[in-house]
Amino acid sequence: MVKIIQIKGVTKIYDDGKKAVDNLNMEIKKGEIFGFLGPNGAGKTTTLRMITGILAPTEGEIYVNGYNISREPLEAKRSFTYVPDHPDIFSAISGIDYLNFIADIYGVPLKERKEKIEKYARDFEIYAALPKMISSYSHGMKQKLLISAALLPEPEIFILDEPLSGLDPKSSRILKEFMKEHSKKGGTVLFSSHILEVVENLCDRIGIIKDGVLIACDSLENLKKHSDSSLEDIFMELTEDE
Amino acid sequence: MNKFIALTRIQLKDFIGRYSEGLGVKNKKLASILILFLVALIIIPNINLSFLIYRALARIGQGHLLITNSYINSILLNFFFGIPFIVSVFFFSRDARFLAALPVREDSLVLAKLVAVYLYLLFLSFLLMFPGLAVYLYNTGMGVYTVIMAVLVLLLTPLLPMFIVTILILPFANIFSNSRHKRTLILIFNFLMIFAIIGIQLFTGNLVENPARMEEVLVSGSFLELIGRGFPPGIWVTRIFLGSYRDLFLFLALNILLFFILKGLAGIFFRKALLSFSEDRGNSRGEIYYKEKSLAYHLLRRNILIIIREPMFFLNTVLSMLAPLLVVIIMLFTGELSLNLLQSPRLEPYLLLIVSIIMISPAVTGNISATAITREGKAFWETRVLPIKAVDNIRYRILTTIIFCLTGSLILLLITLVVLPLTLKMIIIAATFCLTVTLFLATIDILIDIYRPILNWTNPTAAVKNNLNVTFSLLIRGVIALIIYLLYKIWPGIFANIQWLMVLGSIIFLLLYLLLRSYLYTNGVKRFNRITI
Ligand SMILES: Nc1ncnc2c1ncn2[C@@H]1O[C@H](COP(=O)(O)OP(=O)(O)OP(=O)(O)O)[C@@H](O)[C@H]1O
Ligand SMILES: [Mg+2]
Repeated sequence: MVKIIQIKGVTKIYDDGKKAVDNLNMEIKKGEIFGFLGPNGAGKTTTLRMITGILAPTEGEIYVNGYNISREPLEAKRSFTYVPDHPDIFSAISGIDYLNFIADIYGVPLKERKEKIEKYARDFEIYAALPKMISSYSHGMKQKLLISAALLPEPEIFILDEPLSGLDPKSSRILKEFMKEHSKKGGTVLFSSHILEVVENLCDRIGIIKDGVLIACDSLENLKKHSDSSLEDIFMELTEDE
Repeated sequence: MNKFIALTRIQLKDFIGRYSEGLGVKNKKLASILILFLVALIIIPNINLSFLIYRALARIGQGHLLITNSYINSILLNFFFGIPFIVSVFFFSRDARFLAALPVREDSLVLAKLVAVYLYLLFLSFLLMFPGLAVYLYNTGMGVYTVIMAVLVLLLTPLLPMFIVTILILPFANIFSNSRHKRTLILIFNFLMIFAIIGIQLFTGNLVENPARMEEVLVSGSFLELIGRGFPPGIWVTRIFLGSYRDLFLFLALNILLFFILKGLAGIFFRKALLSFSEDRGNSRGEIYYKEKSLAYHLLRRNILIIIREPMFFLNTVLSMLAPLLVVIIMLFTGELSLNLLQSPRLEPYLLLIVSIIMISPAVTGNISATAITREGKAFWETRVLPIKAVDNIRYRILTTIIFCLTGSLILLLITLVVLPLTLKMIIIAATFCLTVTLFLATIDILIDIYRPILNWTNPTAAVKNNLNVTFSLLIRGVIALIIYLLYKIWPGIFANIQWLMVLGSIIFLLLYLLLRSYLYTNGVKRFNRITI
């Protein structure tokens, strides 16, 4: 199995002294859907931000598709797209401006771009809003725009931070379908979530983080081996304060 | 009343929060030392100047005019900074929607918002009023009455300009609120108001500072009366210090009258204006299109739009870049500068120097690069996550600054061409000099922002104003000016041939630019990659 993301001994200490991630070691394999779980404030967003190069780790190394994100950022960044938890994007441009921008950055040819934008935007029901300024979009619409933009270049890896939190049921289902499809084609998906049913149904492997420490990282079957309970029970048990 | 106090508290917290947001320093001690240093930098020369003015005025038995002078200057400063600030507080603040939903009377909302404005203006007034008052009291003796009056006048000074501006803005904002271009209109209105008010003020103010004119006026009649015709409160304030209760009464009465007018108007106009301006523009602009564009196009467009589409950024950029022009035009209007003087042969040798200084003024006062990263705020992660080279990411930010500055320089050059008899050679030399200075300043400024970007702001004012980066950048300009001045003192010879001087200057700035550039694209890029959000 090819390890497409490798996190080696990564620690993140914020400027205010908060240790958000503590000596994290984790590997994500090519073609799998990996679910990243943990209570609020556990360090999920921090980890994803370090993988995507938004944050620099205080210690340790991260490899994406074989490239070190700090030393060869450009090559590493070409192999993934990212949807953050808050859709804070520059919003004084229109949705279609934004999609064209992303398509140009990743070099998506015109014909393909048109087909895909039409497909995703119609599926997510934001097509009519595309010529409007992003500042007039609702939270969910912004998120769907960001997801469409992330799907557009068909990258090796999708990295999504709580992608389902603001979506309506229909859009959630569509996104889940896209994730499955992507993995079937050999692509990798890494996402964080609080919705355990989704993780249970979708993910090949699951990582659980608490207080910055990875406390479990395995397939659902293996996690279940120890006890005969649901993911929810396992999650509660593992993250419980002693 | 309780509601009002609660509201005011929120506004004040927001205001103070915005300041600390803008300062963005972890080291609070360092920040306060820096601010104190800056205040001293303004106040100490002002005290010196006040002594000089007082001595000159006392010789003709008019020492009290120092009060008039400081008062009028403070009012001028209050208008200049107060107008954009008040506009931003009322119409471009993020809390509009939240406030509009509260069950509070309109006039309480307006007054609560004005408390923050008042504090800001009081600080500005203090910078100019305090030296004048202190020097006057020092020279005339500090009686209980005069000290109390000095404190009272100082505290009341910001009220008048603040009330006047708000009273003018509220109805206009209301008229504009139905227009699709309301934001643009309010910005234009803003400029016009600054222009008009500075014009009036300079006209009255320059009488005090111009001794030749003063003689004239003195012969023709009472000096105070003449100023009074332009701006009566100036004369009232002065007479208060001469012991006139009648003028004290007038001054207080005017403030109270304006307060009630404002309160009345607020009830009529504010909610509608507030609601209309808190609406986001969702209007459809054009169609769905598919086009391939270069990275340069996208990044430049993004950085330019960040400035243009955010009213506070745009206002700030244009205002600070064109402020020198505004002053020159107004001086022409008020007759302090005349076309005759500008076109006289005596000025000939200095034409090159003058046009060069005019052309570099957008780069010197604009300091756009100093907030090039900061302006992007929470959206900064976007270009960081995309496969864009850090070098490109930085390069197009600098280029944005250069585009804005050079556009400003070009406009200024065109205006200067109409007024001054310039030769082609002068234009080429001045343009070269302008280019090198602009490159140098744009590069040094972005280094400041790379080392201390403030990305977590919630109010756009914090990102471009009251910002320590801007202060640092101005400090650098101050140091350069000081070096040039010292060179002139030590070695006046090199300033004899201006043409040679400008060429030498261009070469030096070009070298400095190249040096900085190589630093920027090595260490600067490394630092840029470590910026945390
Ligand atoms: N910019 C920051 N500065 C200081 N501390 C931070 C910063 N961002 C996050 N933290 C802290 O780091 C820890 C981990 O935060 P993180 O956002 O990674 O959690 P999370 O697992 O994504 O939580 P959630 O499920 O609520 O999204 C928290 O304790 C948080 O307070
Ligand atoms: Mg999170």
